[in-house]
Order: sequence, then structure tokens, then C-alpha cells
Amino acid sequence: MSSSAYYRPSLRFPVTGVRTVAVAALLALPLAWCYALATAAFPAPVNPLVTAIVSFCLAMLARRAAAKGKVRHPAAMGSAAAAVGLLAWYAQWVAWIVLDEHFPAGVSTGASSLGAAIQLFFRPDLVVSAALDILEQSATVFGKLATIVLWTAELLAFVLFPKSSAAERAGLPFCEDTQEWATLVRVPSRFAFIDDPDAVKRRLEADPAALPEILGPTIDPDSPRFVELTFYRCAGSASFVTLDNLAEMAPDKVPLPRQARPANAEYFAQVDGPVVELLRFPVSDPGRVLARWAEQERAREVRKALARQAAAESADKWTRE
Amino acid sequence: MRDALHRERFPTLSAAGQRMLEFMRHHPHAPFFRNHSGNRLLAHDIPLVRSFEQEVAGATVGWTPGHPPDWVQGFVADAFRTVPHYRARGTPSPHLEDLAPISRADLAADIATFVPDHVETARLLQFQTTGTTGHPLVVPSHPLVAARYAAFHKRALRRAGVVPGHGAGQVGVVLLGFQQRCFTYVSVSPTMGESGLAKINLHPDDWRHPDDRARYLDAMAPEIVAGDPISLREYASLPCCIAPRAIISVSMALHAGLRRLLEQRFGCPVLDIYSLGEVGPVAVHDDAAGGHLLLQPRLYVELLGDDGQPVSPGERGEVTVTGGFNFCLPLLRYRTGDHAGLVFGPDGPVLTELAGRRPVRYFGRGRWWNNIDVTHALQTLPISRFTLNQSRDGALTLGLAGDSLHYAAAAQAALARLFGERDIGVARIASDDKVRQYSSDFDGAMTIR
Repeated sequence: MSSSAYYRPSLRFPVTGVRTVAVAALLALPLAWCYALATAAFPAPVNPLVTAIVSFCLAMLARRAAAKGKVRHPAAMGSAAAAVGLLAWYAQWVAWIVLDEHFPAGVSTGASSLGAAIQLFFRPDLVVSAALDILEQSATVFGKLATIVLWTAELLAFVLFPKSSAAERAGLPFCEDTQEWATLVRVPSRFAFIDDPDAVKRRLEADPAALPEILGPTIDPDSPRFVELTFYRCAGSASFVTLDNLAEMAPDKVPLPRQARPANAEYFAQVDGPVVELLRFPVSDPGRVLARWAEQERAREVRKALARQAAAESADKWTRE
Repeated sequence: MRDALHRERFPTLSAAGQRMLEFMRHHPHAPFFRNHSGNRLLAHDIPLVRSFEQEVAGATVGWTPGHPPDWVQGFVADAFRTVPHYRARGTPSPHLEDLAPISRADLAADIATFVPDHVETARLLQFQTTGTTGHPLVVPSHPLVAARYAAFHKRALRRAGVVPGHGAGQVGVVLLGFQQRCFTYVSVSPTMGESGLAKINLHPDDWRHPDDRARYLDAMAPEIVAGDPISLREYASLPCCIAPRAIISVSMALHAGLRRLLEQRFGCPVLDIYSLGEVGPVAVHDDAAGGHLLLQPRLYVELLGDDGQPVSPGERGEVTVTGGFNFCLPLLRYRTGDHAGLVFGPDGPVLTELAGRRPVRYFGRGRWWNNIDVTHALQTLPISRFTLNQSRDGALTLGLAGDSLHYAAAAQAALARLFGERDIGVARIASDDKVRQYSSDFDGAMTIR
């Protein structure tokens, strides 16, 4: 049990995690094949979009591997995801060479595409040689450089996004008591804006159980400044909370053109980073705290509905008391 | 926008219903209608209202003293599961008498916590009780709940030999008020062929000519007329030629003298219904039964003493109810503030010597003022509770709860509009709970008998 006021990942990479990463690596291979098929069929400018899609898919695969494998080691999970990305990138090279028939010497051309790909997969030297051949086909130095830049960008897309995404997933709160991931609960209630975040942070670090008291009652959902509470719920003895001070953005600060904004949409921005992030909240029954906030919100909704009808509108009764 | 509001008020309105609305609102002798209302019933609500009426018509109030009916246990369990106020109390006791009663003060403190989780807020309505005896209160309701009032009125009317039969092209019900300011509107009842329903104010200020009141009522020829004793007394004084089939009195105690006057004047049954905004129609006075016969099959009544314990059989106590048909406000041992005895007759439980809702009028500036006018005069002030007493010599004393004493000057100014520039004493209300809001020792203040 950690004594820190905040959640710290336990840096565990269980055997299940190794298995799920291996499965992710295997699943990355057909994905790489599909990518090669798509990039062979659609030249630029469609290619970058296909690259982005595959990068996203690899990231999701790596996140899933982290989640299913209960990996709580962000750095190691990031490296594992990068390795999966690298493998996919290499595999797509193999597939592309086979599909585009850039067979280097040493690969049996009579084999099926899959057979040729398998032969080539275990001969990185031939893959590099084929890549260099392709590079040589560029007539100018500028062409060669551009090709290298494109390949590098592709490699980074395959590696970096899955890496950061998987590391972030492995860093999410895990309930060590129950060996389950904490359940994310976005508390729909809004709380009063915290004017002195440093003081509140110090107070919460000293007495995290005072959170409900410090937050006070929920406030009107139409408030332009408020605190948003994100709750990571554990069935064990401690859950984790993040508090963000948010404020409504001035219309000219919204990073979207006016015509692209949905009608009546409101935009909020975080003010000066989280007040606390993944603070340990040691209550035995967080459900009760959440239920109390939900009740407050419901009561506010009811009061609002009643007030709306108070404006001399009514429904018929045969008598009025 | 107006069309949308109109559709919201009358979701199922037909062309004939629209004609009925126009007939009532634009009749040459019509009063100034100041407000709008509507049945707000959706198409699928209408069969629900009808089946509820059938259920209520056929059901009996079958319980005996000290033995809550079977449905009470489930009702209590549901309330503890879905109503925030009760849920906060923890696990319910298996015995109803072990539950702490609630009062008007609990409802007034935060009515929103009494609305069950499952009630959709989009169709939530509110009614305000006029606070004849207690402080004004917001009561959450729903179009279905409002429409279901008729089921209990029909049950009461049937006992008097009247089966309402109004339908398309007829005006079914006219609700009367007689106040300086009154909520008035026209509507139609989709459960009865879109027959007309109008709420009118008999105060002359609401009419082009005072004589229009009788002309309009004759033109509408309502099957049922409902009102409080003050408006019904005014109704009796009008030269109406057409009598309704029945008169229903609510809101305040109807004294025997006025009932006799109305019966003689109109030649129809006059029902005195004990009705509360929080509970709906509770009971109807029945001479043969010796008091007010309970009307709601799913309303359990206990009589509690000041100590909160059930009184001994035969003793009077505070009428305390559990159950009800307002699913937006499930009540568990709700102390109504009214007092009565409880006897059991062949037709079910009967409240005897019911007291607590006596109308009061006040004298000022050479005329009488209804206690509801006083409520209206003070309603803009955020005071939690008040009382008004007029002494034998005409002196007025305004009682204010401790948390409202700082509004004393504003309250005196508001009352000055009724009573003129005179000294109105201010006193602090000592009691924590319901108080007798309106009282008077002034000669003639209680003449409605």
C-alpha cells in the first residue's frame, strides 16, 4: 500500500501483460498487410490518412493490451507498444515489397504472396536491400531525401502514438486491493470554482477525506466557472480524484471556426492545470459519496423544473386547494 | 412560440376542443382571463386516467384502525428506495408506527428531495397551496396527477347520486374564486369528450360588468361548480338562472349554514370535500356517516397526538396520512396539521369533527378582505411563515417566524395596500411547526356559516 497522497503506478508488468502484448504483436501483422494493400492502391494524398488510421488502430491495440494485461508500468508498456509499432512497420515493408513485386534476389518468386512475405520477413537484410533499391530509383537527391523523410514520418506514426497511448493507459489508476482497474466516473455535478488552488491542494493532501466538505454543495450547471471532478472508483479502501478548475471560453478564444460550432455549444478551458490529480480519496464506500452528489444534482434539476412551471402555468384540476 | 405553448397545454386538442376554448374565452360576457392552463395530457395518458377512475370507483377503503393495509409496506419500501428524503433515513422499519412523521416544515425545507428518482422532470408541474392554515407550500405534481383528481370527485359525487355525464360541446366544470387576484383560465377535459373547464374569478374587477358574472355562468351552464366557501357564497348571491347538477366546496371548511343556503339556492347536492394540496381530495362530508368519509383507496390515515404517537381509539388527533395518488410526492406519515376523530362506518373510515381549515376575513379600509388576499399580498416576500390575527377592536398583528423578522417592515408595507396606513403589530412565531395562520376575534370575521 502506497503512503503517497497521490496515485503512483505500482510498476508491475505481470505475465498476463506479456501475453496480451504478444497477442497485440500478432494482430499487428494482418493490420500491416492491410496497410500495405491500402498504400499500394491509393497513392498520396490518401496515404497519410491511411497511416493515421493504422497508427490509431495500433494505439488502440496497445491500450487494450495494457488494460487486459493489467500492466501498471507506463515506461515498460510504452516500450512494448513501440516495439509492436516497429514490428508492424517492418511487416508492412515486407508486405509492400511482396505486393509491389520488388523482390530482391534470394526470395523465391514462385511462392505465393504469403509464402514470399514469410520468407522475406525473416530476412531483414533483404528488406533493407529492397528499400535501398527503391530509394535508388529516385532520380534526384531531393527525391531521395523526401522519400527518407516520408519513411521516417511513417515510422514515427507507427511507433510514437502507440507508445504514448499505451504508457498513458498503463498509468491510469489501478486498485491494487482488488486487482482491478479503477472505474472512471465523470461526476456530472459541478462545484464552486476554487479561487486558491494551492491552499485547497495543501488541505486535501493533509486530509483527503475532507473532499466533500471542501467542495461543498453542487452548483448551478450553467455557472461559467466551476470545478469538474473526475473520480476513479475502487472497490477497495481508496479511490482517486482529479479536480479541474474550468472556465467558459470567450467566443473569440474557441479554437474552432464559428460556422463549425454546434448551436448552443459551450466551450470550457482548464485554468492553470489540475488542482489535484489522482489524489487518493480514502473512503470505504465511495458509492455513497457519488450518490449524494447525484442526489444533489437531481434535486437541483427538480427545483429547476418546478421553478420553470411556477410562471403562472399549470395543469387542470377539478378543484384547487 | 404561442402555438408551441398551446400544443404543450393541449397536446391532443381537436378542432371541437379548440371551438370550446374559444367559446369560453371569447363569450360576450366572459371575464378577463388572466392566465393559461391546459390538461397537458398526452394521448397515451388518457386511457390511464380513465382506468384510474374505474379503479377508484370500484375500490373500497378497506382498513381498520391501527392495522395498515397490505399495500403500505410496499409503498414504504418503494419510498425509501426512490425518494432522497426517506432514503437518507436509512433502512425503513417494518412497522409503520416506528417511522418518524414528516410535516409541512419538512416539505417546505426542500420539496425537491421528496420527488422520487424516477419522476421525469420534463413533465413535472407545481401547485402552490394557498396556505389557509399553514405556510404556503410548493407541491410537485404531474398532468396525470392533476387529471386524476376527477376520479375522487366522481367517487364523492356518486355518493350524492350524481354521475357526471358532460361531454363534447358542454362545459363540465367551472371553478370559482373570489379574490382580488386569482389564477383564471379556460381548458378542456380530453377524458370527457373535451368538455369545457373554466376557472373564473367572481371578483367584479375581473369582469366588464358585474352583471356579466351571472350571464356568463348561465351561458356556460356547467354541470359541476367548484370553489371555496367564500366564492360559493358570492355565487349564491348572483342572479343565476341555471343551476349546476352539483357543487363542490374545497379549500376551507364549509359550514352547515352556507351548505344549506347553497342547496336551497341551487337545488342540488353540495359536497364539502376535505382536500389538501399535498394529498389531493381526502374525504367528503357525509351527514349520514357523521363526518368526512375517506375517498382515496390507497391513503392510510392515522391520528397522532402532540407526542407523535397514535391517539387512543375515540380520541381526536392530528390527521396523518401515508400513501396517496401523487406519485411525485409519496407521503409517509405526513402530519397535515388538521385535527379530527376517526370512526369506522359501513362505507369505510370517517373523519369526525374535522377542524383546522376555517376561512377568515379581515376588515380594513371599510371593507372585508379574504385571507387569500392576505396570502397574495405577502407572497412576494421570502418569509417562511406568517400569521395574521385581528383582535376584537380591529387591531392587526402579523406573526413572523424568527428567520423572517427582518422582513417585518416590508410585510407591513404590503399589508398597508389592503388595510391602509395603520399600525400593524409584529410578533415572533414561537412554534416550530404548523401554526394557525389566519385568526380573528373581530365581529363578523367568521360569518361564513
